Amino acid sequence: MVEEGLERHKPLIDREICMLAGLAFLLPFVLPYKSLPAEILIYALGAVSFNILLGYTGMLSFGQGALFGMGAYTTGLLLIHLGWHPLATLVCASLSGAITALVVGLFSIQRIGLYFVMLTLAFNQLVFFIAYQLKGLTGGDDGLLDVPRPNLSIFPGLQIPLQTNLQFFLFIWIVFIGCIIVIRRILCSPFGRVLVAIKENPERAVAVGYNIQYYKLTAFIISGLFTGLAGGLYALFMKMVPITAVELVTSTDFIIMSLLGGLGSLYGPIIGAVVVKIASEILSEIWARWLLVLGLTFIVFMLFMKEGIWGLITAALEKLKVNLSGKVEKS
Amino acid sequence: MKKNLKALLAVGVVAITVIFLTMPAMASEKVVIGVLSAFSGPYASLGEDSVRGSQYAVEEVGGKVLGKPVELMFIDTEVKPGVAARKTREAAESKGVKYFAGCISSGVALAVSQVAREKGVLFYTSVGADAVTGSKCNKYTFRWSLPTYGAIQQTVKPLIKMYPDAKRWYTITPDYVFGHSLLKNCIDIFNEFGVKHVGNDMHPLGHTEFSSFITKAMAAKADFVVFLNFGKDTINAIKQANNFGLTKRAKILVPWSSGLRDLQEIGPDFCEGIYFGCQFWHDVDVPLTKKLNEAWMKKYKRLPSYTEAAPYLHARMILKAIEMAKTTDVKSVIKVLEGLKYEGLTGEEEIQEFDHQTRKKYYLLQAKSKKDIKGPGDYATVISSGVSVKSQAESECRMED
Amino acid sequence: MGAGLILMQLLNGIVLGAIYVLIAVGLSVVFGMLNIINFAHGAVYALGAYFAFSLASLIGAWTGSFWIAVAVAPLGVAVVGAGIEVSLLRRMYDVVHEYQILLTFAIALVIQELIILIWGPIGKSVSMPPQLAGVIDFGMFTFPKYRIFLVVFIALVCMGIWLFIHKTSYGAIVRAGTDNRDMVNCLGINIYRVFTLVFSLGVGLAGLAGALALPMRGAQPLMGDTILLLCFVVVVIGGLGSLEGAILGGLIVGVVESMMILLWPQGTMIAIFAAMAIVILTRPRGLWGLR
Repeated sequence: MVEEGLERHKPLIDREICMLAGLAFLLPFVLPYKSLPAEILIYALGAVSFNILLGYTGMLSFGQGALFGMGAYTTGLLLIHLGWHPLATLVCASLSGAITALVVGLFSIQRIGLYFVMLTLAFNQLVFFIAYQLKGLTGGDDGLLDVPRPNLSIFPGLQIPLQTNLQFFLFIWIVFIGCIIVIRRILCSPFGRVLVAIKENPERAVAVGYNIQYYKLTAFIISGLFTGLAGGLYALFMKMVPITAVELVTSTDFIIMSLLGGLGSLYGPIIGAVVVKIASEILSEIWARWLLVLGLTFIVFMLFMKEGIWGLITAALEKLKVNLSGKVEKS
Repeated sequence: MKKNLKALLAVGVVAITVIFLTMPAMASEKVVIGVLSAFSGPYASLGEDSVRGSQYAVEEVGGKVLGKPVELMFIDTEVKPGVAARKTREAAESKGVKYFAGCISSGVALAVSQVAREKGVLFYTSVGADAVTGSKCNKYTFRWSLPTYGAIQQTVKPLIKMYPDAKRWYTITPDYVFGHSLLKNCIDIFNEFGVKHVGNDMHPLGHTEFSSFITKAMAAKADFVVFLNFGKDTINAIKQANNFGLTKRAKILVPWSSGLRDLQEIGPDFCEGIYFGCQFWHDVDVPLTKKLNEAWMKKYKRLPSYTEAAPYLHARMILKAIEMAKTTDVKSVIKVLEGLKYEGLTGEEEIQEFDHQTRKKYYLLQAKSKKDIKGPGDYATVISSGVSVKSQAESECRMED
Repeated sequence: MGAGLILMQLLNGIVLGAIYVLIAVGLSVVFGMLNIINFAHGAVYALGAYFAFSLASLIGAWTGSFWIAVAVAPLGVAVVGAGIEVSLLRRMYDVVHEYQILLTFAIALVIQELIILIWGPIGKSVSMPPQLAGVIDFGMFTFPKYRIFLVVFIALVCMGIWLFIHKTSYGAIVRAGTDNRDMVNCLGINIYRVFTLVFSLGVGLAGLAGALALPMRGAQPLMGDTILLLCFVVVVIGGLGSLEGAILGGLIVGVVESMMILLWPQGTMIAIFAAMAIVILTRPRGLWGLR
């Protein structure tokens, strides 16, 4: 299933990454929405991080919202109360995501299958209700308002502005592509191959001598690192942290995006995020019951197209290639 | 690997064409008002009301202001601050919408108000939390409804005077900025008059099971139980209070109701004798209200409720101010609205310049029993009414620039 | 804090718990048999309430209308459940577990949106059945008749299910299938037919819970959302797959929820979900722990 992850000797930046970067860069120029492109990339990063767990390691986590929310609150609070440099707050957001993931993961990997799912769900709810009750800190149901989005001062005298949509998008775009390069590197490494081995057959992975708990936990921490970062970016993007950031619905958003896009590759969740976000924006204006369409599409994909949109695309191209080469041979 | 590259290219090309084809035309010579409300989720009924209310305001001016066609853009906030803020920002940026009106919950309105200030667009609302025209007020946000301060002043105070023997008060509060704001004002008044606040419970927005709170209130031997929630939550709470027989043992006050809507939905069997506070009541001697009543009887064969009247007033005021300013420039429209006196839905109303809060009446109603109801909409009697807003000295509002 | 208040809250908790039990029993039995955690279980609870509402208003003002609704609505929900099992779930039995969970998740979304499409986004309510309106006076406190009835009725339903599972031959097949479904299949019993039966039974019970909750809470499209998560806690605490566990878990969660309102209301949900995590970590088979 995970064919890309198994290829060796990939350079850090190759045509694949350039292609992705180029297409992502087009978003603000082709979409009629100004702020949506940045949001798409933030969610895409969250979905990719989720897929490190489900697509690569076989762990269905309902706890990603907790990681995302922790990152968002960390950035928001540091900016409001301490006025830190945005980049520093983002580093802290990543760390808080990773630490939360370490705690959630440490407990959750004790169990497998449904019990694992239920544990991650319980942790998500715990973090949500704690955030809900700590009104003084998080704003509770009203959300954490008035998060500033200062410019990036690189060194005295040089400031990178983040105020307009395009400026902010460029910033998100750079961070996003950087993250994808790092994530791809990790997944292509021997470490990534062990994760896939654990997913395909945990018993064999143990038999071969891998400490699978260690690998699962590390996967969790990596996922938390990037989900927390996505959360931090979300706080900067929204200039607030709504309570929904830490709610279960954020977890399920990532799940839906990854599944529709395709779990089998690094790029599936990205396509899923693009499609779901754009579709929801267009459909919700046309018909208030657009979630019905989403649900039905989801069912169809579950039943007939488990490889997702990415799987469809690759299969179609494969066919096209065979047809073309067939014709060439004939002529 | 090549096939993937081609795939990405293919996706890109397809995506671009699709998007260009579906790209909506940019609004240029139209005046667009973004109406924020809930069109999905538990408060979706209010969304339908805001459609009727704001559409009537547009019809009233013949669909045109300054010769430009007026268009309404309905935005579903899902009663979530994050969603509302994002959609408002998107509408302001991509569609060039300069006027926004509505919002159901204070939490949502505060988030939208933040966006309004940032984007320099006008936002006209009717929510409760004091902060909207208090500590978090800004140049671009206007409010019609009296804030929770006024609602409590106009309901709890007269009732304490009416029932000097009712010394034990119990409150049930929704756990967000609106509820907290109502509760704080309640406690201030309880302290002022020396009545005892025997207990309070917090519940999340959209709660359906109130039995535990009701039994607590009964055990606390409360003389008055105050439901500080609104809409669906209040309706459920009152029905369950009835099931438990609380309505027979204590008096009940709902300081912030949507008036006719709530009374009809709960029904006179459950409502009898309950006190309701409300921003708008149809049965008053005010010309504009009478006009609205007539229009509603003609169109829908029933009387208007607060949830329709407020969206009507928001759109009406925005259109009127544009007309008076003779321009659609937001800053000039704000200038016109500041300090404006006009014939409103509760008699003469005035928009205060220093905090953009409207001085208007608030009504205290008592629900009638089934046998006393004569004719449509005759669900309650007005016990008292009046205006209570904080003076500039008391207000926490410090407007920038 | 008087004894009356504590007793009253206890009773309240039992009423809350009784509804959880009814939903959780179905959730648990379906898990035991089909090995599926059904995320659509909350949505069918709402569907039950809406079916009951429509039936009650169709029949009209007649005093018995609510009772017919309570009897018929769960059957309607059970039929919907059977349809879901046959047409959708059956295709998923041989794929990875995670896909089944996500499929039921999507089904929940579709049911919820269909409810809004058919009945509108505005909640519906019916009045109390006249026979059960009013309160019973216990001296120290009063309590609504309907809620007392609810507890008794649900207790009877649970007894019925227990008898069905433990005393009938069909129940024996269900029990055997929970233990080892391949074995049952080998014995020449059509295991798929049993699956359909169990799934529609479980879903029907959730529908019954919805119909019974209707006079108390009304019907709202999203009413199943929060209760589903609490019922996950219930089945986990009681032990996934066990009928007795679901009853025990339901009562514990209901009583804890209403007692916490006296002690530390802000901590209610935190305590409940923390308990869930602790039980999975220390006693994964639940407190009943038979399996």
